[in-house]
Amino acid sequence: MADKRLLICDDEPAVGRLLRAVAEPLGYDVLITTGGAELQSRIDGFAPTLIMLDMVMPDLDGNEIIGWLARRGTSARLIVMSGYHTDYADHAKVLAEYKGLGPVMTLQKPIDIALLRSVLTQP
Amino acid sequence: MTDYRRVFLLILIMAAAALIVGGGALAVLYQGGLERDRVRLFDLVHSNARLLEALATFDQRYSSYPQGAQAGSIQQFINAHREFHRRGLGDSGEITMARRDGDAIVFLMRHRHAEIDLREPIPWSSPLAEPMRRALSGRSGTMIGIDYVGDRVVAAYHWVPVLGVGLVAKVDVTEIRRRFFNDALTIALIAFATTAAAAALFYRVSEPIVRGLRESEARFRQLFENMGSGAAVFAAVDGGRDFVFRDLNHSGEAIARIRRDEVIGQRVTTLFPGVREVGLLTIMERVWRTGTAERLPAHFYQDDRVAGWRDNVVYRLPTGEVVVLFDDVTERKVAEEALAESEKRFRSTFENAAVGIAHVGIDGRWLRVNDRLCAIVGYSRQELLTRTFQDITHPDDLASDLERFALLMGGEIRTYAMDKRYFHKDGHIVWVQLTTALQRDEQGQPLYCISIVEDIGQRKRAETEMRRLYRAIEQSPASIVMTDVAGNIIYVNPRFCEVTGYGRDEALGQNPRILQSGNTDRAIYEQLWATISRGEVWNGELLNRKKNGELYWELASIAPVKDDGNGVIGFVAVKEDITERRATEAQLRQAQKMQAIGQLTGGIAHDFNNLLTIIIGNLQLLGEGIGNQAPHAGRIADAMWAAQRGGELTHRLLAFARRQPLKPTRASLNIVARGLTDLLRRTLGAAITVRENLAADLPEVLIDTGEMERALVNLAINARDAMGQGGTLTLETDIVELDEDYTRAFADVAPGRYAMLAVSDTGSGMPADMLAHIFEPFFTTKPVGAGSGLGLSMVYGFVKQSGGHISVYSEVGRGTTFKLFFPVVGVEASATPAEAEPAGAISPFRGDGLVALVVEDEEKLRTIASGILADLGFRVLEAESGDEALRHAAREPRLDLLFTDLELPGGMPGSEVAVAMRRRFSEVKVLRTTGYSPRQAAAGDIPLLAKPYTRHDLIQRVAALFR
Repeated sequence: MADKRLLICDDEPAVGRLLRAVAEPLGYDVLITTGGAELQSRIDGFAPTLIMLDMVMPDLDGNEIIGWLARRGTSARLIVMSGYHTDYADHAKVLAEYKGLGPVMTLQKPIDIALLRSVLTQP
Repeated sequence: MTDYRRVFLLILIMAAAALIVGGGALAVLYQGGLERDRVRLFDLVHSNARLLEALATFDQRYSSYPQGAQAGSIQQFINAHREFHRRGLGDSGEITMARRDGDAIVFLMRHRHAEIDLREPIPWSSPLAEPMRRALSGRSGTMIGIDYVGDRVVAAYHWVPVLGVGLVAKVDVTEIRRRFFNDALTIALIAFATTAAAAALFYRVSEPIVRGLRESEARFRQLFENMGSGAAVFAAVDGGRDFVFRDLNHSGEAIARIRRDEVIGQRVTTLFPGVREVGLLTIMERVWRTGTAERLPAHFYQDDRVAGWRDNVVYRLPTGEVVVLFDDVTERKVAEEALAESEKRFRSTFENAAVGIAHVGIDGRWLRVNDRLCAIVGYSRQELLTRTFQDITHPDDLASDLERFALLMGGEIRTYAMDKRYFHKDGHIVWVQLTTALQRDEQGQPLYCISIVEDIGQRKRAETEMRRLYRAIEQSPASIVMTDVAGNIIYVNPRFCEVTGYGRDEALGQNPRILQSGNTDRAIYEQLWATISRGEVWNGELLNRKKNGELYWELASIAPVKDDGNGVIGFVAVKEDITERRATEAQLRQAQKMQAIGQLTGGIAHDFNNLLTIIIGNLQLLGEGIGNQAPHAGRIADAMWAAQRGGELTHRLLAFARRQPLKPTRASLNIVARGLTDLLRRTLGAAITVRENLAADLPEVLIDTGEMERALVNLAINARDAMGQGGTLTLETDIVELDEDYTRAFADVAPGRYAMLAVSDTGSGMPADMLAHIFEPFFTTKPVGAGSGLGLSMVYGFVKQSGGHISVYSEVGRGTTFKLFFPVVGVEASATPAEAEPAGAISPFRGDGLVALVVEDEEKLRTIASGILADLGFRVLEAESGDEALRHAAREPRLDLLFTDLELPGGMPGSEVAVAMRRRFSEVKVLRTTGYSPRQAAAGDIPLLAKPYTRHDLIQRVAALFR
């Protein structure tokens, strides 16, 4: 189970800590960022295999980050999370896949731990 | 008188001449007679001497006379003479004979003067007997001298040497004279008589001539004196270089302002120094020389004494005198000049008039035209003069022109004026105003017409323009009111009357404040006046009152109207009745509020979800760690339950914020479109008209109607953004057959029947290169941040996922049309019911004739409530405080409804207001409202409407009160 690196981007650090608490026991290296800019600056140094991205953040919108990721290309899988309407995450999924970022998974907040574990343990 | 004197003089001269001639003749006669006597006496004495000599000679030879022969001879001689001594000698004639005897003369013979004793000889030296002395001196001859008596005699003397005696024959001069005097007397008598007769005859003959002359003289004198022209008679002096006055008539005196006696003998150059300058002197000289009369036409004469226009005629009299006739033509000249000036002025007026002027013959021919007329009709003067007015008159105007022309000719009208058309030479129509008057001759026969032709093309165009503007204003969908500077209404358009209920006659002259409802803050009016007084435009909304008392909202633009000099001459207000719109806006505000709430709740849900994520996640982790360890497991389960309850709440919040997504169902595009039209109308704003053009019997398609609606909204929002200045958005449905020709061009679409929904705008459109990219995600034409760039991508994705097809047509400046094609599904009855009726259906309740008082401190809410109640027919009073409400109540005779906020400024809550109103108006219905939760404000059975309330809520509550 090598090379499982999870990059979390959520403006709420407690969410990041919770996700880490679930992911690390599953073998993930976890890096928590709290905004789009931080993600952009740290993604290369971390080379994630999985990115969990909150859609609504103060600095960069999830869609913008998706656009950015699509432009520079990434092999990481993408999980978009939203506390908003499910459409929001669904649109992001459509967009990301259109941009060639797929497969994309969506998680609706509040996130169910069990569901999260099953996602994180998917190959 | 002088003429008669002359006649007498002439007679005298004649008489004198007769006397002189007569006297001369007498003298010659006298001398002639004397000479004849002398010759006769000499002949006598000579012959006697010869006789004596002959006697003596004879006696010497033959005589024997005693005393000697000589003595005998002497004696014989003496004897002989005794007989005939007087013969032929007259009374005093005698022949004497004497001898010298020493110193004495002794007369031997004498016949007269016997009384004288001549024995005494006469001494030789005596002066007497002069003729005898000469004879005794041996001389012979004749003489007049003194004889021996001392009488003066004519004597002839002769010496007779033979006897030594002398002979003298003599006659007294006195006798000769006496004899002649008698003759002379006779002659004188005859001459006198003749002369007298001749003089009388002369007078008789000359008298009529003289009288004629005198009459003629008098006549010509009168003529001269009384002639109207000045006349002066001059004699040339200095060889014609100057002239002196000989005469001047009365008129001359008057004209020259000088008296005759002052000028006579004076030089013309002295009295009238100006004659040289005006050339009169030269002419006088020339006339004097040549005798040819000349005229010096009117000229201005001036010297120190007189000045004026003169007209001279100069001619020469037979006497060589020069006559100058002169007239004072100053008045005539001034009149002539005035006339000439007048003529010139009239000609100039004619020629240079800014309007066309023409004289038109009674046959219609142009007789005289001015330049302006030529310019108006484009013909040269020559061209026009060969034409008639009929030639260039527009056929449609000719009949009425000719008709009036005939009336004018017939004398039935004096002038006529009409607007008519001429054909310009180049063919275009010229509008003119024609004014024609007729000129008649003295007999009243028509001579020609005087026509004034004014180019009114500009005016016509202006009139057309004015009419157009007037129509536009008259038919304007906005109320238009114009006032003078004082604010009195001078114009209102029909829309104004329609809106306010005031007739035009009622409004004119009034001040627009008749519309004031008393609900608009005084400060707004002050600001309004301050703005327009500054010359600026005021824009704002006013709650006004119609004639029937109904309140209505107006969006007003009020501007000063300025003249060319930038002076304010009035004001114009363009107003729109926005009562409806305000109601719509209120609804829209409500919708926006709901949207905001949705966003807010969405945001809250998001935050909650974040929090719940943390809480629930951590609780799950905790639960995993603790297992079933009591009592912790139970506590965690409780916390878990609460957190999940929170999750459900946030889910509901989200459901409120956004509808839940729906699954594809059979649906009609018509129903989707129709259902959205109202929403779009409200959302897109008044500037955009939403039209729907839906096909009947449109087959159903299989779509997720929620997504479909979202897609339509997306397209509509794009369309709105493309129509910044407003426009029309059209929703259209149709059934179309996409054949293979079409589908071949689009690889991703299959041939077949499709239901089509088109969304068209009349906006800015897009160029082709932009069209190629619009469906790409993140492609946006909007400013950064204004759009996500995902809208059309989502529409595209939706249509594609629905097995449909999308096409777009766009033209820059014309607009854009998106067409969405969905495959038709098999015909099966759909269970889709009729569209839901929007909330707020009109309640049948009306408040007409009732009075409502709205007490609300928040202005917008007050306005909304007032508007709603006014729409129900209430006459609405507004108050923002309890005190103001009481003031209204004091003035109003009735009050049917009190709608009051419970929380009011100024220390008087709504409940107290209600109590006060109830006291004053016992029948008043009271409805309260509050922003707090109803539970907090609950008080008795008084109806309470919670804020925010909808139009529908208020109407229902009010209707319930009055039921």
